[in-house]
Amino acid sequence: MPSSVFVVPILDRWLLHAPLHRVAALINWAAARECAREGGPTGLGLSGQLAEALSGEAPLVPRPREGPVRPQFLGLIPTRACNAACVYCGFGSVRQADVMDPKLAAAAVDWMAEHAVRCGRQSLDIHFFGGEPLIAGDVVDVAVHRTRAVAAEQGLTPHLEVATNGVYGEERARFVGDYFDTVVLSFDGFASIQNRHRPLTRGRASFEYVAATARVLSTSSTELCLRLCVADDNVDQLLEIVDWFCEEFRPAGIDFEGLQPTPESERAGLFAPDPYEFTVRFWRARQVVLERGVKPIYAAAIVEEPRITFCPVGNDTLILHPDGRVSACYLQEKDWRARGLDLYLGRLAEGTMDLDACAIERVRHLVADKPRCAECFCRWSCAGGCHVNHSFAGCPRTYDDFCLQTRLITACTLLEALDQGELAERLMSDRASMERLALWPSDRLEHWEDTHD
Amino acid sequence: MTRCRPARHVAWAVETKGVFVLDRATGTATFLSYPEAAIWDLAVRGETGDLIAGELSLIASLQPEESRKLVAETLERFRSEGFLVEEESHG
Repeated sequence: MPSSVFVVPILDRWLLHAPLHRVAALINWAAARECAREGGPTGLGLSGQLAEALSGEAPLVPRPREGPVRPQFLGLIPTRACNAACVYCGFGSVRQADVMDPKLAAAAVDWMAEHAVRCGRQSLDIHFFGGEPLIAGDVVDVAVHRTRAVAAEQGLTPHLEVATNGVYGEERARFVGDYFDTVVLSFDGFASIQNRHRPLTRGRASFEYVAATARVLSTSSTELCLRLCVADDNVDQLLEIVDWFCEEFRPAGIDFEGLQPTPESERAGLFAPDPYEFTVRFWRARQVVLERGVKPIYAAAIVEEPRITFCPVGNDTLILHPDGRVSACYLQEKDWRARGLDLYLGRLAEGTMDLDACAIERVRHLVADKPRCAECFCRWSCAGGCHVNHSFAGCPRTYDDFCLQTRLITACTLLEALDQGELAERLMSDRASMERLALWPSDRLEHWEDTHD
Repeated sequence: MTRCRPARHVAWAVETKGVFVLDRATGTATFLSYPEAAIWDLAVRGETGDLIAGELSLIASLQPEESRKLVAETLERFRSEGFLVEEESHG
């Protein structure tokens, strides 16, 4: 029996999940016991279909990348400067900061285009991060048009994406809507919430700017994704917020992110939501969003394809910083260093990309080692979350709030895929059963007899 | 150099390989590929010719003088074709 088969309690039933075989099944106690005792459904003659699906070695074991570097996309950080002063900001954004030389941005795009052609890729993928990238308007202008010009010349399809706070005028918003394929706009809800979470400098309100930008983007051709940070003060309004978002801004997607507490957010009196409440409210909001034809996103519970990493780290993604250094992650260097990580991969200078092969290998392998995830049925979907803030070497082995809500949401997602949405609803209304599932000590099938009550 | 703005009767749409411009008064349509598409975008956002030339030299890998000349010629053509009008100076 492959060791990548997991079983977790769902009320009086058991959810068997074998992500590497892409198999999920809802079974009863007797079947779970037989599976565990007999070495799995293959030894049982339980269900011919299930036995067949789980037979043999797992065909889809995600492994660290090998061979030449193949970036998923090129990320540009035009500046770390930002015109907002979000109370939970973890990007080290300040009002004044270095700005990338537009020549550097153009050289980076050229490198990525050459790479894309050499690798036989069809698209040229450039993403912008910050700070607030649109603060460095000339860098963005040059990089966007250089991308489109080079892509047209090389027969590539440009794909431009930006993570933005939306605090700028209508003209800039129209540019963003016209030229970016995907816009991830940070927006936390109604005016009182948005202005509390995401004030501008000197405490000024951001809501009107962001709502105006969202309206412009909603009428443009861009794919608009609203990124909603959920804290203890807006979790109980999730349903109303997403209903309003869908009605007012017609986004393609809404990305729900639980607040990642920082010393700054705690000083501001803002705390992470209770993970059980987050799960229940998210699940209800998700149904509303789906009914409106909008895609709900909880990035740690994407179960379609097994993965080894949650984010660009480990996928060979190259993030270019304003000073020409290239890293695997868009977070700040001091945050990685605090975890004992070195995520620099090289440097772009005078048009030459100098990548350190050892650094690339080191980062590729760092994503494979996550002791906290060893017993968890989400290990190939959540993949441990953020390598810097969540699953770093030496992190506690016990589940934290992110783990708890991810385990619950993943289970409900699998149940829904099994056409057991009603069971997911019943689970959501039974706090004791939610806790039992979320805190289950080991999900591995071979540990079932030791763990179940 | 001066700033321009799009003429009132002009509409445009950004496409993958450039910009499609339509003169709704005459029915004249034209497709601007790169680098003219970049000049169009920067011009309709009210950037000066000097700034456009500076950015275009990086967008299209042109020498600064070459870029200035191309921007001046292209803006002139956009004006003569009625797509752009010169912005009144308020200085």
